[in-house]
Amino acid sequence: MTEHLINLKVNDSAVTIRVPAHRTLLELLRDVLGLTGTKEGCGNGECGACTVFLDGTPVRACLILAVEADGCEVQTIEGLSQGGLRPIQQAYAETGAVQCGFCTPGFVIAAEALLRKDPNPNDDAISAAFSGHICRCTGYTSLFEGVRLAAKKMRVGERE
Amino acid sequence: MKSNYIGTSAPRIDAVEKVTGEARFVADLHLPGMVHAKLVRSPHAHARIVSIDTNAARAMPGVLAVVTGADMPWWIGECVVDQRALAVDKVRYPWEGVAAVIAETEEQAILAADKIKVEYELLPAVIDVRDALKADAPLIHPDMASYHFVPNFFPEHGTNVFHHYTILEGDAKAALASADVVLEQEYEFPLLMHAQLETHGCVARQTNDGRFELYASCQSPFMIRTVLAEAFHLPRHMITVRAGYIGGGFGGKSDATIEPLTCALARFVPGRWVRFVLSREENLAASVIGRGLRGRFRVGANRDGKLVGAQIDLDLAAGAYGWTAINIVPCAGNTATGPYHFPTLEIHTRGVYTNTAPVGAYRGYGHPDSQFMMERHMDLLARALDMDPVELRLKNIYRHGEKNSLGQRIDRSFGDLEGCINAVAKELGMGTGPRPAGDPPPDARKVRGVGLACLMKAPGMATNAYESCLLKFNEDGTVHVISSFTDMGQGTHTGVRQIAADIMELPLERVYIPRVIDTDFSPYDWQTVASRSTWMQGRAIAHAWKRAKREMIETCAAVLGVEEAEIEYENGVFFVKDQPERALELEQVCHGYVHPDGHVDGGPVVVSGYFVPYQTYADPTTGQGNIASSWTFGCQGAEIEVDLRTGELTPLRIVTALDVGRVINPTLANIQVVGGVVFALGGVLSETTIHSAAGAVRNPTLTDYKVPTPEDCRDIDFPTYLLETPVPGDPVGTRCIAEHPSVAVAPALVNALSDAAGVEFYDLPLSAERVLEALTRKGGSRA
Amino acid sequence: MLRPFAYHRPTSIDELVELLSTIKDSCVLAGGTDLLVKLREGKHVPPAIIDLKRIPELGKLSREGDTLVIGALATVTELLEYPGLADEPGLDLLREAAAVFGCLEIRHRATICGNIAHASPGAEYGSCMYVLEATVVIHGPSGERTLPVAEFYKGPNWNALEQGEFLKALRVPIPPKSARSSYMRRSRVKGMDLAGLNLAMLVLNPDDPAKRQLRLAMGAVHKVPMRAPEVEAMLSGRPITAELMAEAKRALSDSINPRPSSLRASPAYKKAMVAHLAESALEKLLPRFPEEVAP
Repeated sequence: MTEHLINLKVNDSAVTIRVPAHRTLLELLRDVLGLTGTKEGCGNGECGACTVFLDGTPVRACLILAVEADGCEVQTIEGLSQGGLRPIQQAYAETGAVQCGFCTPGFVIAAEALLRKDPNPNDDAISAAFSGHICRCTGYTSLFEGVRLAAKKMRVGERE
Repeated sequence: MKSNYIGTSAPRIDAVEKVTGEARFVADLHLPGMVHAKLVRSPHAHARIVSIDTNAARAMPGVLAVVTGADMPWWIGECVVDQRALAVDKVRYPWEGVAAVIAETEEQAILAADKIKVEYELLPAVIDVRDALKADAPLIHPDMASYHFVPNFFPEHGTNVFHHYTILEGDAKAALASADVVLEQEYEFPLLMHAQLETHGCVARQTNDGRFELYASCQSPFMIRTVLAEAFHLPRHMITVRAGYIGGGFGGKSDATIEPLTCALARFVPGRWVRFVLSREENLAASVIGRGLRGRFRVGANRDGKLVGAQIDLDLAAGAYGWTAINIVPCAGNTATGPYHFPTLEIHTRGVYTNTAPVGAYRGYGHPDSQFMMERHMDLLARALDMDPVELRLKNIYRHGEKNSLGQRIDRSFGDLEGCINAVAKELGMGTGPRPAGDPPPDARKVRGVGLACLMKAPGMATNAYESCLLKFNEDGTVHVISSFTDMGQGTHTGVRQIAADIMELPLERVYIPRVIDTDFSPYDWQTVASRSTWMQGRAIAHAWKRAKREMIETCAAVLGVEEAEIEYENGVFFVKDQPERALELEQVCHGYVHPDGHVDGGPVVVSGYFVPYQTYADPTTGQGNIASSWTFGCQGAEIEVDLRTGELTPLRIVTALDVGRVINPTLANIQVVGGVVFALGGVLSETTIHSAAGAVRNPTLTDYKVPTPEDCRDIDFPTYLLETPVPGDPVGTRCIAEHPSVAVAPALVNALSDAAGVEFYDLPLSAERVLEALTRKGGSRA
Repeated sequence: MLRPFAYHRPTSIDELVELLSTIKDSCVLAGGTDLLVKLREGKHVPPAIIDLKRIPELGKLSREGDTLVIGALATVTELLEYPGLADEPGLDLLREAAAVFGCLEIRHRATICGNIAHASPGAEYGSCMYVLEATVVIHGPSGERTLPVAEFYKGPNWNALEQGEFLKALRVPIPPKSARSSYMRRSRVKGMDLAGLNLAMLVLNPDDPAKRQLRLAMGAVHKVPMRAPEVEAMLSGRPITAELMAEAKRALSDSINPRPSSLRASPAYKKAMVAHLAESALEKLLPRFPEEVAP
């Protein structure tokens, strides 16, 4: 087993840590750093529950080795929630998009990434952002509605 | 009862925790000294275990214990006790646990488990229930006669049938012999996996004084406690089960699954927390699975469409162990009639051992399986009678106090099924003779069609399936409403908070619902299953509130110096009848009243309440009896489009109408309906459990067990009608709805496919491939 | 949880080749979206993983005259967003394949070269590269060599790389501006899924039936992606009438003999769907399809 000393930024805090080569970024976040808001739903990149920002881009943390994140900046659901709820988080709560809650962090990151690029996304854009994210509870309609509502909240927020 | 909050979309009590990732699930727990368990699982469906070599594993670093079935004498079950923590002598399903490793780290456990060598001798495996029923079928449990069955279950020894439930009403054979039309057809509802996004997890320890403590991702902490108490011969107080947030259940976490094994393993490392969390593959292949019903329906009707009788044979392919499936057998059987009155009935339902993972509760508990068949049958019968399928249904639904299959008299107070059917039919333009031409499909190579199906469901429960609660009043007049139902997403905590606030006439903000259950402190709850929690919890709270109010009135009477009978209560204030100025606020008396000189009357009010509906056992010969309570009736329909070149079926609209009695929270109720429809839709369109010829599970991944995706759902319209026929004698007046939106989706879609393309399905899924094959057979394909 | 392996992060091609040559059975890591799934299965654990991402020499995307060079580190997202790609109708298939490739998060990491190197029979870019007649640039201890993509594929998850070699780039000839192309597939759900089968089509001189040249390749119908030369010949150089198309569809269905063990589509469905996808592609690419024979 080989270990590597890596430096990364996680939710704005510098982290220097030794990790075995075969540790995934998801395991580093959850098991070592205690950031359990990011979920493991499949370990195979099929469900989206482990989605985090890596250098500002949404990625599947289960498909990335921790050592690959050396020198990178990671933002998790915990980091996103620092300083109050984002509009998408408020919107999901309001539209009923939250049920069991296990897929929710992944859907928050996916939608946040979309809204950062496209503040007024149409359903095709939402669909593309949601692709590969599985929710077994809601039937998805309220998640789509949540993104539309968040976009509206952000527009109103801008005007104010 | 006032309703300040019932009927409003109050915010979800758990939303903020969940959108911020703060909500903790079992896999998120990291406890001091925690160790990790991994299993070695069988690649075979049915095989004798010749030998297990654990020596190399024991020598691996970090290993604390290596355990096989032979080390664990404990039996697991409920109603029938037929399972061991790990396989002993033989494996009965693919992925069954054969050996376990406990190590300091998860990685050490995996690497040691890799070193265990198991030698098997293959036995013939039976996956198809028809094979399991053959006279020369291999016996999956040759020792069934030695198993403990509770009364009212009827195993057929020397076969794979572990329960045969019979309903007899009148002379069905004679009725069919003289019917104008008799239609016979076989059906199958295949096996499905739950694929909860959170896999099963349990963290357990045995304390040095012999108690078990565990955290479990489970729907029913008290049921887990029961199973553990019976398996380990422990008094209930020696077991503490804790449950919190659950990342989806759908029935797959309603019975004990991995908890008895995790506790059994904990005995080998006393004092240490043992963490056992299933991988996605294990969750799909090795926990309980669902459905798996075959049926043969013979239904007779007179020329005018009036049903005269039915002979129905149902066989549940229950998998390797029967205890999680045994109560599905009567539920599938007694609802196979659908909501239609049959003057004569003969229904045989058998639970049959097969070599798959054990079948357990799966959103609907037998109801969707058998009603899929009856609702298909009604459409086929309508055609045989040259009648409109809506008209045939309306002609035969219970309306005037007719008896159902259990001998219960069903009248309109049970809900307005006719209204539900009419709502769906109107939405889809059905039931009024020839349909008006709607928008044609944009592409001539696509066809559209509509179909509907009725549904009914009652909780399948024990007669003493209590729901209880504690009202614990705080110093400031806020109140903890403590219950033990679990909220795996359905929103019960939020709805119950609204109900509690209205019952107690208090502002919502003063009512708090803890989301963590601890069987040491939380009141008894039978199980969170059967869509029962919101319905029953409301009545338990009403019962507790009656007691709480009595205690507080006692205090008020002492303080105000009047008779208790003179005290009235409204909106948080106790007052003397006709003298509203002589009043005490609830917060002045709910924690004892402190007089000016310091002495007190009364004390902290902590009361309990419970509810259980009137139920009885079924008659062993005829199956009749009050074994079902609180029926909910409804109707679902679909408009679909079929691409004749690819066979792809696209739902355009899926309509649901349910008579829910009373809507507690419109947003949550609607989401529950849409979610339930989509959950069922997966099993109709894309989800299949694929076994190899030898019985291995070929698709235990989300890569190949295809659940609905956002793209599948974004363009579907889900019109929802929630009717509110009052429930007589119920202060809250709500009916069960959680599973119901999943019940009639399959028959509605299959009926719509028949309408659209003239192809008939008697099983599932309606995958593009199978639809195209049917179209090609029929000669309608233009591929 | 993955079984242990070593990890190396070379910073030059020489260093990479040195590592690949000395550590037998080591695996190259670029996006990791296929590799980590395989590693998690735990059946074959390589002794070492060699990460390509810190080798600046391994370019991303560039255009050299009429050739699009897809470097080992170019991700699917980068391809989708590559400036000028949308102006090349002959490469529309690359963007169409990107749009259904995994999902957004996977496209951000997955590389085109990795998709080819894994030699999965149904990979999105397999059939695309077959119709584009791309060249694979292989780098190893004895320098560079190139192979037509069809010779790079040896079998399911089996490629032509020898010990010490890695896939350095794909060289894709950019078809003339008049060309048209499309990528289509069938899957079990509308969202993220592996293709049950796929079809890539390139039509050169699409508007002149006499000069028209048609190429098509199919994925997940054989152990490697496959072209259909006979059907290509049938559909090239003449108007594609309804009758001709019906004949071509039959021939295309007959040209494949898929294994029955696929979880994603049966042989009968694959046979029907290659014909359907070919027809759908032509409907999309030829404005007057099906064509009339000039009187």
